[in-house]
Amino acid sequence: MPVLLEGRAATASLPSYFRAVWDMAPQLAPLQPAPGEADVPPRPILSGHDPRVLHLPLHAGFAQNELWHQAAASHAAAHWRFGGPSIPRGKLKPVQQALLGVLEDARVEWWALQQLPGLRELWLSFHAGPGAAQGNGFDALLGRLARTLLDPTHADPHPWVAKARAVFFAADGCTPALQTSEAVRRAASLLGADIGQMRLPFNVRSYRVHAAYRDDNSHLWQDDADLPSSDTPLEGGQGASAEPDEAAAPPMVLPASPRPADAGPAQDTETPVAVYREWDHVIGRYRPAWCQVFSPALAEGSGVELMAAVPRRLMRALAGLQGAAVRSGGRVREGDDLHFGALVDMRIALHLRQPPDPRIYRRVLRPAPPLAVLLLMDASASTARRMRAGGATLLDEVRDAARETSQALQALGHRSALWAFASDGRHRIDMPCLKPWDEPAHAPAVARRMAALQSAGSTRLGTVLRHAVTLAAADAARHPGWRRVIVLVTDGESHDIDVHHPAYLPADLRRAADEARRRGMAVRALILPPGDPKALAQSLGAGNCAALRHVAALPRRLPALLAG
Amino acid sequence: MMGEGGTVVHQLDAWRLRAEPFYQPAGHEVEAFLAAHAARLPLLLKGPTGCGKTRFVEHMAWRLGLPLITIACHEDLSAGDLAGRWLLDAEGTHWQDGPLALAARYGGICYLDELVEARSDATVLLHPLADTRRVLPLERRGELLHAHPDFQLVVSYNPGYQGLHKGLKPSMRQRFTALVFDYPAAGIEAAIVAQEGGVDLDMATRLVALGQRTRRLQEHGLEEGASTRMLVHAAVLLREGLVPRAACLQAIATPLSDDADIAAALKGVVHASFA
Repeated sequence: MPVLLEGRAATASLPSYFRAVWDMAPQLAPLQPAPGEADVPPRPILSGHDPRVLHLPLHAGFAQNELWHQAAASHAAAHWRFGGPSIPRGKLKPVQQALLGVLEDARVEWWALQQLPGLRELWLSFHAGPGAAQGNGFDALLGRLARTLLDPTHADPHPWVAKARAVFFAADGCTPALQTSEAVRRAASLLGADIGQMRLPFNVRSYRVHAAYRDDNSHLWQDDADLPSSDTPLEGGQGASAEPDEAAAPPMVLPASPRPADAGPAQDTETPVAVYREWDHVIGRYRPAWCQVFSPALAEGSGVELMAAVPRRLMRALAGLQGAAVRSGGRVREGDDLHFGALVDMRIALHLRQPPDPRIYRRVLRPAPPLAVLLLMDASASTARRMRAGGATLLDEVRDAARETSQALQALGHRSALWAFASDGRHRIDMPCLKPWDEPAHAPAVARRMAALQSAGSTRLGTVLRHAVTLAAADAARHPGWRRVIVLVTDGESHDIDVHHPAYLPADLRRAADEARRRGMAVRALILPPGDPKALAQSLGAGNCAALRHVAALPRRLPALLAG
Repeated sequence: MMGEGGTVVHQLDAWRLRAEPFYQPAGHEVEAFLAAHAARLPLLLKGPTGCGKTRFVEHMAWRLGLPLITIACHEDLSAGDLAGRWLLDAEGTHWQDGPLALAARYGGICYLDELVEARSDATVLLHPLADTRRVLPLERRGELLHAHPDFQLVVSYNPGYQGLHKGLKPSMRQRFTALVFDYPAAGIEAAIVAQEGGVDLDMATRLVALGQRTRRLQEHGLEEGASTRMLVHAAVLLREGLVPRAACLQAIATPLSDDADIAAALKGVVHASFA
């Protein structure tokens, strides 16, 4: 289970951190404890070349915070930026291998510190303080050495640590004498021999690098055919080149991630009209080419439903949203045109030696640009429910709300279009068109398509919104200058059969709404019972959602929603 | 650049720059401006916020000895705000030129910052001024104002963060010659930050390195990375005695984003960049 910090995944800021500080975009993968190792303090693991992968231990009981993540990320990046290729273990003993790891860690960190001196404080907090390595065992000495090499102001009294430090640094005491991997290897051999002479025991199975942010250094070594294979399967392999095509290979596999239900969805013969990425808040990045949108033609119902009369109340309520520039009789202090009545009054006031009214300009009401509204109707299975026994279904309510809105907008000179949505996992998101932009809302074909709409499937709002933005943008290219609003008419929050993490789809919806806003489109939602507007408001913003208990309430709810 | 009448030019003295504004050229933009000005061709400056567009125009105005009238465009900017309007005083009504009419009447550089923000009824006023006619019809006054020979039109906009509904119409675009601005190369930008912020070149170089780190997040969570202006702000705070981390958090990381994840990453970048 990913660890959440104040409601967001602790790893969520890492992709941005990697990109900004290191100009790298490695993959992040969760690391599950190997069997029998659940109680051993875990360490990150690096693997792969292209793409590089940082495996982070995420299991419960292991305290993590943002500082640990950033320390681990910068340490990994230092290895990738300043480290050499992996080397054969050769005749190096386990003691010497562990020592080589500490020296190589210090070397790459020293190079990193030349550009990013602030990292010393970040890293040092895992070496010094109450958790500092103490004692004279080999594990403790390695911890003490690691701290000494990171912090030049720290003097360790142990003669072996002092000797190792003298080997690591040049005569000036601050630049490393060990410039190459080969020099590090020689120093590790030399210093490891001292440990042998001190007869200090070393258990390679229980050894962990002292500082928790440092990786296990397994990436330093070439694969050794004599060693048993690792208990922990790694993505990208140990030094193996992974598939570079992101679209073909999903970047990560998380326990909470949506997985295809089967190898091939039943509707494979149809081609999707669009494929969209989806935001995964756990890994803090988009899953590329993740969700498929289909646009099936609706089998038009034979029984033509009679269209209701033009919704006059709704029209009147919406009429204030636009119109030609209106010169009202009002007088204001500032404006472009003088108000002639006010001028006469002012002249009179001056003659009477009274203070004149400073409001001498005419108030001009500027019209808002006309609206182009894309209505998205929820047709998921939950809309089959009846509001009252024997009463209309929720889908009927959604239909009525969408139709009335569309008709009223058309009558007032705005543009509108109607699409419905329902999903069946990420491979199948259906968005049939009920009314294209240019078709009149009262056309019989629209009524027939409306009648043919059935309740089925789930609600994957983020992808629905992305497709709506594409549809609206295509219309905007042909009809520029209209104010674009996308209105979701739904009975509840996002859910889908292949998503199990409750925060996953809301986080994606929030992201999709941000994308829409950036493209100059407003996103609004009308929520029918039993949906809770507060849940959607967390993704869309409180002012952008309104509860609609009944279609009759549209004239009260809709104007404010479209005007905002 | 004293025109036909010293008294006339005098009208715009308040808009003259008092001292030379510091500007470090990053390419051939000075020559380009001079050429456009020699032919009185209108100029469009494109570039991200805080990269030096306004400063460049100020510098050129000073160099050419011309008054500079700057108008920050916004969505309520109307034609009357640009061209002028009738006002009332004890004597009756009198006409007050707007900033655009002032520049056109008495000769000077009129600089419209973020032009796409202005309403369309305001921008359409520019059409006859920006082509060979060089006239400004003042409809309310019944006057056809012929632009002064020294009048020069300069507009700027930032193509980066305009929504779909915003953008220049071709009829506007095609009247302008255009220059593209971007953040200067690291060495030049460090010299600017050192000069403007009053810090030494070493510190300025480190601030620029931090700025470049934030710019990597452009299109990856940030609309734009830290501008040169932000880096100068950080330098000024440093000069006032703040420690580097505090100055950079206040001037760069905190203003850049409200998104919790991006903010956490930016804070990490600042902490990594300065001990």
